[in-house]
Amino acid sequence: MKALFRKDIYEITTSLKSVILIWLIFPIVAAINPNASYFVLYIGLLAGTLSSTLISYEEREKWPLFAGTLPVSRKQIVTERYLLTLLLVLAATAIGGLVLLSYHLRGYSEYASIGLLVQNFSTSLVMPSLLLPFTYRYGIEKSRYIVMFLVIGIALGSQSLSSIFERKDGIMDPTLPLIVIGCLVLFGLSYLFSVKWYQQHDIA
Amino acid sequence: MVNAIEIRDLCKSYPGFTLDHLNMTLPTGYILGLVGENGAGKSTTIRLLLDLIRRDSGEISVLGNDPAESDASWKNDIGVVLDSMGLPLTVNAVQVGKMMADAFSRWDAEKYDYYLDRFDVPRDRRFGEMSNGTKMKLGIAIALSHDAKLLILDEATNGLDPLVRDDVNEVLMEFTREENRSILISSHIVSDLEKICDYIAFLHKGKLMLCEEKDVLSSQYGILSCSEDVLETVAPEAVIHVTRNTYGCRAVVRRDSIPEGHSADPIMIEELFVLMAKEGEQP
Repeated sequence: MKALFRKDIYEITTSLKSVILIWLIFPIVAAINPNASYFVLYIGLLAGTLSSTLISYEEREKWPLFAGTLPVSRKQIVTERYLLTLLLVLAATAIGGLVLLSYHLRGYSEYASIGLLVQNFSTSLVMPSLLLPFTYRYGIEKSRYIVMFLVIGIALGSQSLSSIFERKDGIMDPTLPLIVIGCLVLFGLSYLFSVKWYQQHDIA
Repeated sequence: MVNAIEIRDLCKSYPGFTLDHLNMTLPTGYILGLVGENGAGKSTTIRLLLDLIRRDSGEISVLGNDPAESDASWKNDIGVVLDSMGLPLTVNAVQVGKMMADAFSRWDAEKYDYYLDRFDVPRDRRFGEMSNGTKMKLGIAIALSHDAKLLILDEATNGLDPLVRDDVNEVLMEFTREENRSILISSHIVSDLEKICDYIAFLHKGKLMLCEEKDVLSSQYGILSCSEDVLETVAPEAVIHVTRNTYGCRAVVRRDSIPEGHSADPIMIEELFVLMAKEGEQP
């Protein structure tokens, strides 16, 4: 699995330099201007969708065929991608946390909402959780239609939950931990489906 | 000794194509050439061997492992080069070497360096900027650098110029000089296969037309130039293909069926396969 991680790091650091740039610039913009705190959400969403971007590159490069000739199982291939996604989302959440901490230290505590951090984490994790199983089953092309529905669905979902996420009185809403747990469960179920579907999939 | 590859009654169907009850064996220590026209089923067979696609029915054993049932560690023992190399476009040969060192338990970095030099593969050029031939040479270098017991090459030498192809053929023959090492190679370039293979298998439209020792093939078949009357005395099942002109017939026949007083000219394997494919297309 180390080979798969190394390959992804090479891919991200060479083909996806713009992503790294956004990861560097957006938190700085958000940190400077508390009114642009939503920028931290972007890096989370980028982290969550990076796995699908990588799969899209891989399909173009015919990497799945090559990976199938290596001594790594299909389960390991899927596991690596989910671990990478989780690590990136956690990293994005941590960066978001640092930005919010900077607000708190500079006296802008009203912007340092835990809800924003949870929103960052949950939306970043929900997107790949819903998308990856379909990508492993149908390929990136066919999954694009599913992505469109997902984006609309997530946008509407976030809207309806905004009252929870946007609470700025410094008190954690009791539903926030449940949302985090729900997202983690969804991520776990998504992984199981992806493994099952990718194991049945013909790699052409 | 376990055969390197054993295939029994292997079937796989796609819309418009069926691999039909394929039976084939590659004994350990030998080179088997898989030939056939485009769409004959060569790549499908190889992808089934690697468990890249799932079989509908039949049995497969590769180095004693059933690819669909075994964990992936058995692939440490095989070196594979497919018709298109699926590496990230932005990595160079050095980075590929590091990835492969992480992937294969017996990766030999020195050997990899040796083959990069031997095949003249640039170390600093990105994979996406390499020519198709160089990509293939990189693939062959990878396949040869982790102490594999079996090489599986799918059209791997087709993009190479004749000089490099000759060198690769030499490397492949060197590979099987060591004990217990075998090669399955598919190619359109039958003349290359004729040089290096011990066995030849001919696939046509998803069916195995024959799988035979190369020397037996050359000795069993020949070209009989004769009149129509003489040809009628040859058992029909021994006649593979006939072309007729104003001077008589020219037929590919089994040598053991040639009528007394007549002799058959030798036939090149490439010629035999072209004729057999045409015969297969006849109603």
